[in-house]
Amino acid sequence: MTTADVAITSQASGTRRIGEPWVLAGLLTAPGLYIIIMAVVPAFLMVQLSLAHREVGGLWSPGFELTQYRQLATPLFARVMGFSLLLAVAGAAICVSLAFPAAYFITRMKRRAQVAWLVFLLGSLSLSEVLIVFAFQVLLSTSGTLAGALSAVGLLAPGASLYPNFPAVLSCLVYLLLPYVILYFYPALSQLDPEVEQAAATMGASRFSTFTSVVLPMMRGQILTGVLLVVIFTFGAYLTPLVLGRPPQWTVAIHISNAAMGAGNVPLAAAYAVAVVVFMVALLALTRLLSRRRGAEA
Amino acid sequence: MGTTDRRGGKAPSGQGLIGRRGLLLGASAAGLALAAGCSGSGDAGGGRSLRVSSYGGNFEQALRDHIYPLFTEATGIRVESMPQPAGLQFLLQLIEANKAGQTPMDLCISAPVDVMRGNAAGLWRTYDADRIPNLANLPDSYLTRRPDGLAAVGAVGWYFTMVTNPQAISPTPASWTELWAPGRRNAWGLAGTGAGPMYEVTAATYFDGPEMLNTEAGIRACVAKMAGLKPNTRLWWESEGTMQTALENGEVQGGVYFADVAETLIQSGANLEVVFPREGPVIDFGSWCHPSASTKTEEAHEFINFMLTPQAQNLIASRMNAPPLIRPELLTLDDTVRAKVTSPTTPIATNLEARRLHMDLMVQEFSQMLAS
Repeated sequence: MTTADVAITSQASGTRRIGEPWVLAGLLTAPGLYIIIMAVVPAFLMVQLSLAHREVGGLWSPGFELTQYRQLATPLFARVMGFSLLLAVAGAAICVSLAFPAAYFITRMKRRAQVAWLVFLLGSLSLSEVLIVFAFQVLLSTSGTLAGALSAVGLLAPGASLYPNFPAVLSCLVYLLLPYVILYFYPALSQLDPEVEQAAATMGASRFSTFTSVVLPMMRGQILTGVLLVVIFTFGAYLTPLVLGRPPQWTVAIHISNAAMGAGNVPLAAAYAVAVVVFMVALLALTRLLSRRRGAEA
Repeated sequence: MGTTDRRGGKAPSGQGLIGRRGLLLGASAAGLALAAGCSGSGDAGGGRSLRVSSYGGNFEQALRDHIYPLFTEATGIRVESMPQPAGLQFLLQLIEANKAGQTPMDLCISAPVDVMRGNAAGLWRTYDADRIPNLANLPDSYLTRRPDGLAAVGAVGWYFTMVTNPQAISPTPASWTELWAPGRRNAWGLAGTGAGPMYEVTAATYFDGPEMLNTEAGIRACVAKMAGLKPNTRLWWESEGTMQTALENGEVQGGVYFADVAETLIQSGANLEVVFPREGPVIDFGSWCHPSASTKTEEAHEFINFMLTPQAQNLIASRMNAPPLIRPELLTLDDTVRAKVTSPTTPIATNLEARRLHMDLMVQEFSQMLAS
């Protein structure tokens, strides 16, 4: 720990010393240990559990078999993964296309207005997910404000409600993730040199075309990372689809929970989880490959 | 209100505010209980005592307030009552605590599936039937035996039955077939637990009864019939709190629910009707289980013997709105209580053998049917 302290003080006096290997090692010990204990070991245990022997009338016993993985070869699993991906991609597309312009306009505001927006966004993050999901349930229910207002103007049959369905799930997820994505884009956009845009303006570009042909391409990397961030978050969504969706809108997380807590089939749940991790890693690798290729072409 | 789920199914999962609160309360209670177990409390104050846990909410409260004091009076054994959450987390925690020799309670209530899982994990100590003379009061179907002895003794029953809002559903349905009726689109909240009571309801209504669930073909046939419920079902509930909220705020017009919780809701002013369909309600029950690390074996036997007396079972009916398990002729219930806790039609017993043999298939087929 003292090593880390020294490193931090030395970082304050000049970043040059950070490069020294022992300082770096000292700095990385705590997070490294944390990652090993909290991520690598549980991941190993999860793989081990997914290979365990399931005892239908009981729980499970240690083993080394692929039974659980064979059970994943069902239309249900493919459907659930497909739906989770669809939900994640749709959520990411909406979130990023709302958050990016929002963050851009916030960075172009006066300092005080920017601070007010940031405080507002951070404040909304302090609301618990559970609260938000149930607030959506109330809002969209038969007796809720929104359904009431819509049926008052004749857009909705009386007594109808706006959930459970796919749009309800999607809109709640977008609401939950939007502040994160705006806050994610904010630093990058606020560091964007205003002279770049001024240069574009002096060459006769409108604000809109500056945004689309200068700002957007410069931020392509950040946008892609933002999309992936939302995809990863949304893929594991649990509470929102459970409360606001019907069973066809249940994500893989709900099916994992059903397998583990409903059937007591923890090995199957572990196999589901391993499959999700593999799928996500493959997705990230594919994205990286594609973006590299595009980078090379450009 | 019933704040915790009692079926061996899924624990409250954040679905429904009350269900969730139940989970949080239950989880923290279990945590406290585990901590208490570790500190070795239980004998504080001297004298004989017994730590007993039961499903939190109504159940635990009624037992603590109305039944345990009589036991203490009769035997001098003080009961330390604590709420327990249902579901797998509780069982897994208990298995670990028991392995470490520190169980948080001496007796707990378990749904049949958890009795079975606990048996497989070597969690429960067997009882000495000779030391529980009142076992004679209990029908054999409420006892769980293993080759080495008696592992669990029925504690309290519960019905899954039809509950309707009489304003929306009129006249009162007479049969479970109403759940499939074409005119009831989006009307119901049904039990969504993977291997839950909808199997028994379907098997008894459209087939020869729950025996069919002992075969894979029977399970598939039953699920195919259940698919017909999808257009009529607005909510597939897993935690009872979710269904309670939906019934109270009119999101559903009725469905399948616990008769005792519905009675409690009616007593607190909800406009609901408990219907016992002609095919019968589904009956399930919890059993008293004795973790092997507990040292209070003597007291546990005395406790179970007391709980099987007609006196205690009458109170289960009148205070918990739950069906007593001992032979009906031993009970002295007044007509209002009797009407609440006994079904005029023969109840459909939950087919435990089917769960023992085919639990995973039942859950898988059910999930597939729901998700497609």
